Amino acid sequence: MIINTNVLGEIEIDSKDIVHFPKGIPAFEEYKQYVIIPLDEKSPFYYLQSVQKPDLCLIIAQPFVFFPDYEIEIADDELQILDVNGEAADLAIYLILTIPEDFRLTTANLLAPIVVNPKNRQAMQYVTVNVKYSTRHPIFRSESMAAAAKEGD
Amino acid sequence: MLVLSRKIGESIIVGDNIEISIVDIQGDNIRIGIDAPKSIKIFRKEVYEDIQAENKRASGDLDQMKTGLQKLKEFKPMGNQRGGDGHVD
Repeated sequence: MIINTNVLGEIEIDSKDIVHFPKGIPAFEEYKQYVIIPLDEKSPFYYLQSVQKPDLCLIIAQPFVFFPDYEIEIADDELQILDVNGEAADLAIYLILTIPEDFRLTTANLLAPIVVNPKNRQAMQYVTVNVKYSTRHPIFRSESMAAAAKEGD
Repeated sequence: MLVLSRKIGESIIVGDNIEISIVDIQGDNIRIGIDAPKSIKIFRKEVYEDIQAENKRASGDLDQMKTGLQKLKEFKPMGNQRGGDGHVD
């Protein structure tokens, strides 16, 4: 099927690739179907594009490239929502990025990652109970940004 | 909305297995204890509002997102590429 998107234009998707968020995601609760499209091969970045709403698109990233120590614990009851039978380790975890005008100040939402069961493509934005995580962690360390800024972009 | 008064040490039962008790009151600060099954998600309302607001911000400006993503892709920060260790200082 072909879907219309603001960011990627018209794209063809396979209905088998649609990821279902039974509860939607906070702020966009009514939209439950998305596709996850890699930015390009080997990139840690992906588009999370709504199938229903062309202008609803989020950038998500693999957490461990930027936060190697990132860890979340998902309660058994939550795993049931995703219909996980085997190991929780099989789940795919992504962080939603907020990219401001100065992209070097991009932040990641560590508090509430996107969790996908690749086997049945059931997904949710999971709210971790870990108090050390917030919705806005810089993905680059400040010293590396400063060094890059000195280089003159 | 049901509104009722409670004193310190008193509690409220919700459904079959949730008990909410008033632990302490200091001025306008009230400490609440909640006994509930693990399957019941409990968090401060601000947490959910914070996530809603961040999702809106993250998807707010698609042009900025596109430009930023392109730069992000090409960006090779000096030294340590990774962000913080995930801890809030």
